[in-house]
Amino acid sequence: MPKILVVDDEPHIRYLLELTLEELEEEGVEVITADNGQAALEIIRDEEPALVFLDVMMPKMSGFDVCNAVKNELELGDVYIVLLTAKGQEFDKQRGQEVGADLYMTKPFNPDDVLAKAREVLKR
Amino acid sequence: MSAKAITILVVDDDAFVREMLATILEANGYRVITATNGREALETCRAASEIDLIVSDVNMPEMDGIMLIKTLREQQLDLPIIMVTSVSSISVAVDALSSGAIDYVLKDEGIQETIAITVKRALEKHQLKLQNIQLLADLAAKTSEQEETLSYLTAIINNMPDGLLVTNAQSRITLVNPALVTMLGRTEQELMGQHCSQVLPEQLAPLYAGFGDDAELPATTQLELKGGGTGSAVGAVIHRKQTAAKRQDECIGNLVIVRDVTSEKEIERMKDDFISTVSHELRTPLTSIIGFTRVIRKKLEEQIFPRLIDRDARTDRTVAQVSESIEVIIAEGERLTDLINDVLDLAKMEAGKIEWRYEPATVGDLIDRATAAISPLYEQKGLALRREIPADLPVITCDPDRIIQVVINLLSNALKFTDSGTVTIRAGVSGPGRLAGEGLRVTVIDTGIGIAEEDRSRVFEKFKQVGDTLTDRPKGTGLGLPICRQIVEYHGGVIWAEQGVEGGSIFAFELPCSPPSDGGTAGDAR
Repeated sequence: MPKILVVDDEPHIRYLLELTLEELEEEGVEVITADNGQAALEIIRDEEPALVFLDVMMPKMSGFDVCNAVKNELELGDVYIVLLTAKGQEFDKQRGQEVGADLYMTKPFNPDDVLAKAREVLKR
Repeated sequence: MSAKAITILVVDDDAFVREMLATILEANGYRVITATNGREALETCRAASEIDLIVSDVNMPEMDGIMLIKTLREQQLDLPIIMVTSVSSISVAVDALSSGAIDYVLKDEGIQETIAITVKRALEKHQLKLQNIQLLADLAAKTSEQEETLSYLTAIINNMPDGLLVTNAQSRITLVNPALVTMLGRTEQELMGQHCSQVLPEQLAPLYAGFGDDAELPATTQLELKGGGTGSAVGAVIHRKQTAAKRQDECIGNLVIVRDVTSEKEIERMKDDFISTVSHELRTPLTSIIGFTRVIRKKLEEQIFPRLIDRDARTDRTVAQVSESIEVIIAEGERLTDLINDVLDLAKMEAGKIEWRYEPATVGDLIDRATAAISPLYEQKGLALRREIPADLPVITCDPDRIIQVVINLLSNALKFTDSGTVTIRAGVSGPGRLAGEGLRVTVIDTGIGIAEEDRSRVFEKFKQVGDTLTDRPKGTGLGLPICRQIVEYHGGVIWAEQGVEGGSIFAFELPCSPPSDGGTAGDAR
């Protein structure tokens, strides 16, 4: 059963993503959430989700650090990582590329785009 | 000598010698007055200021010649005295010289010749002495003047907050001020006389390394200061003016001035942080507002509305009102998002923090890409978009994404303010006029409401949408055109608005056909 991990320290944003991905759950996809980077990293290591929506600005461990750990240290290249950022600054995009993120979405994101992306990744 | 006769006082108790000397001197063109002893000579000197020289006997009653010299010197009367002595008293002559006589003459048969020569020589010698004294006085005055100037300069240099360093032509340090010593965390002794490359931070090298190469100076650079601050340094060549020698000015050294810009840097960083934080803090709740509204719309449309039973007119009206209200929330939320993006974009452009990616592009392609992005909105409104783009337009160097942004902005403005008719986009080569050389002009012509003449230049200012903001519903962020202007001007181009035919508006911009001078900083000077 494919898994999607949603990581954001804002409960509202987690809930919004859960609601957005709700119809995938009906199709048998499991949606897991985490509210910080450290917890996210453990879940990714243990559960190897197919897709991660990862907030950048989080306490303890930032999305960049999580992404870097997954892609470059755990070498889990198959985990598709979408970075979610509220900053929208050029250097963030560059940083995202450096740590190996697969996609970069700027808040506010359109839930329809999130759902479409999830479907696309899971089809692979 | 001068036209005015030189006056000589002859002093001798022997009337015969007096007369003889007077006769000889008068024969040589001098005016002569006489005195019979030292005391009388002293009184004459005090009374008559025109005396230029004294010729005096040594042995005289009342006051002898040696005493006369001493008394004159004591009384600050600086008259040259020639002593006339007999052959037998040479030692007296020596005494006289050591007391301050200018010369002596022997009282023998040759005196007729020697006295004239000696007087002439003594007068010349005395003249030289006077000139020498004058020169020394002038020098002292000049020195004092220079010392005064130097005191001012030293006080200024030592108390200025900027660091100052001067080198000679060999890049060896000849002057440092306390501010510089503090900034570098060295002592004056460590710096003075050293070669710049041995004691200065590497970042300063461009300021003295290009020595003599005038084209490169004054140069500026940044360096890290002692204590972690940031310094901004400027260098310049010191020229010595050689107007007297009619040669080219000579480079005699280098000057480096360092300013502590730590607080300016800190403020800049705080501003960036602030913009970044505000952007983050605004986007996070906005994500919830727009996101959940979209979720609500979807749930209503897919789950709730179809299940409504008893669809009477009233329920239908309510459903329509709810749907419309949700659309407004989403549309306004998106407008707020655009506003945040535009404010950030403009702030970065104005701070010069945008990375410009210049590459060759054809305007036709850029317009194609822009119209492809916006044509769904035109179709939605039922407005025709006419393209008049010749096939053979020259390739220009520009940041394609940014130029597309400008075209989309102009097309979307035309769409917003035109309810019927057509919008035409036209491109072509333009001659010199608005630009110095040949340019590529893109024109967007609409048949909309137009802009009053007095508002036409204001539309490029920030938050200056035309119309009454209280009654007219604003249709954008008010930042689109200011951003367009920033982009066009960064490319060395111009953008303007004109009165269109049939009351509509014309917006046009021109980009120079020749590429911008250099990648990252193009437009800085424009």
